[in-house]
Order: sequence, then structure tokens, then C-alpha cells
Amino acid sequence: MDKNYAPEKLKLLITIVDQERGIYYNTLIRTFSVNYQIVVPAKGTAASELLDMLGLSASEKTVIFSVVRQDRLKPLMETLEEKFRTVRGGKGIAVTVPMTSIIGTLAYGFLANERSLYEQRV
Amino acid sequence: MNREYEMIFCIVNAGHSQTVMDAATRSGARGGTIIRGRGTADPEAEQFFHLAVQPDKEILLILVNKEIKDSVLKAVHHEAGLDRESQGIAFSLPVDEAVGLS
Repeated sequence: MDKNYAPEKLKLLITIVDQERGIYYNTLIRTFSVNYQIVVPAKGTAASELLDMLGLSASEKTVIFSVVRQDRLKPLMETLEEKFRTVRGGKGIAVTVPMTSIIGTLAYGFLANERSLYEQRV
Repeated sequence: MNREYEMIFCIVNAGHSQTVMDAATRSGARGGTIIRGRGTADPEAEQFFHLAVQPDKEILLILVNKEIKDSVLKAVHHEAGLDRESQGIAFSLPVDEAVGLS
């Protein structure tokens, strides 16, 4: 590895959207150099008297766990915020959690989309 | 970076998520998201602590203002802790950024 190489920090992005928009946001997030995501079904529980009146106590959600490079995060969060506001049925929330440690240069290279690390290994 | 939020992760036996949400909302949480999962534990540790970890789990993600994080955690622990039928474990992680919150 180049001794001057400084790894980019990684963050865990947790995005929660309505189920029918799961694939849309999964694809969108991938365009920000995100190689690895886990998508799981979930249920939302936000309290709402209206939902209770309609007999709907929970809504079907998709949770997307994505590993994102620090330097791609700002444009990604800005894009998500815009899409939550403008896409029909596309409301959601997205939060980031710091990742403090990761083991393995291949794992790091894959998660950070740092292809130069892989080329050095080959 | 404005760290005004924390993400509470709470892992309980399947079927006990409502207990957690009731405790959390009484302490000011606005809502949560529930994921199904499978719990695994070291058999020797189970024996030592006199616990039998049930495999079917629900994981609740509850985003809260950091001012109420402690009271939410305490309430969840009181109602759904490891020594209860829920066998709940709860912890919080700092949130660096958050969008989409009204």
C-alpha cells in the first residue's frame, strides 16, 4: 500500500422509507459510490390518531443500511433530503452513524469503493 | 455536524415491540421502526447468567433528541429489560447527520 495513502472515513447510513420506494432509494444511494447495502423490511410505528381512526396502526417500511464514504456523504444527504420532499410517496428519514473501525484492506476497499487498493493487491 | 439526535437500538423477543414503543412514547419518543431478526448467544454465557436467549427477535430503531435519550432508555429498560419477559437489550448510537425529520 502507498505509504502516503490516507483512507477516507466511512459512515453507516440508515434510510427508512415506505416499502414501495425501497428499490428506488436503494438504486439512488448506489450512484454515490456505495457498493454495499442491506435492505430489510420493517414496520413503522409513528403515533397518529388519524391512522388509529382508519384502523392502520403501522405502515410497511423498508430500512436500508448503506456504508458511505465521508466525502460522498454531503451530496448524498442533500439529494435524499430533496427527494424526501419532492418524490410522490417518497417521504423518509436518513441518519448517519459513525463507523470507528473496520478490519481488512479488501473489506475496506470494497466498502469505500477504493479500487486502487484492489489493483495493488492483484 | 450537529449531534442533536441519537438512535436507540432495542432488541427484544418477538411480540414485545409494543411494550417498548409504549414505554418510549411515554418518555417523548415520536415513533420507531421494527425489524425482524434472529438472536444468537454463547451457550456457556447463557448458562452462567441463567438466561435462555429466544431466537425470534424484533429490533426497534427509535430516533430521539439527545435530551430525552436517557429517560427513554430508562423507561424501556424498566418495562422491557433483560430480566423481563421481553429480554430486551437497548443501547444508543450517536447520529452525525439527519434529514427528513419534520
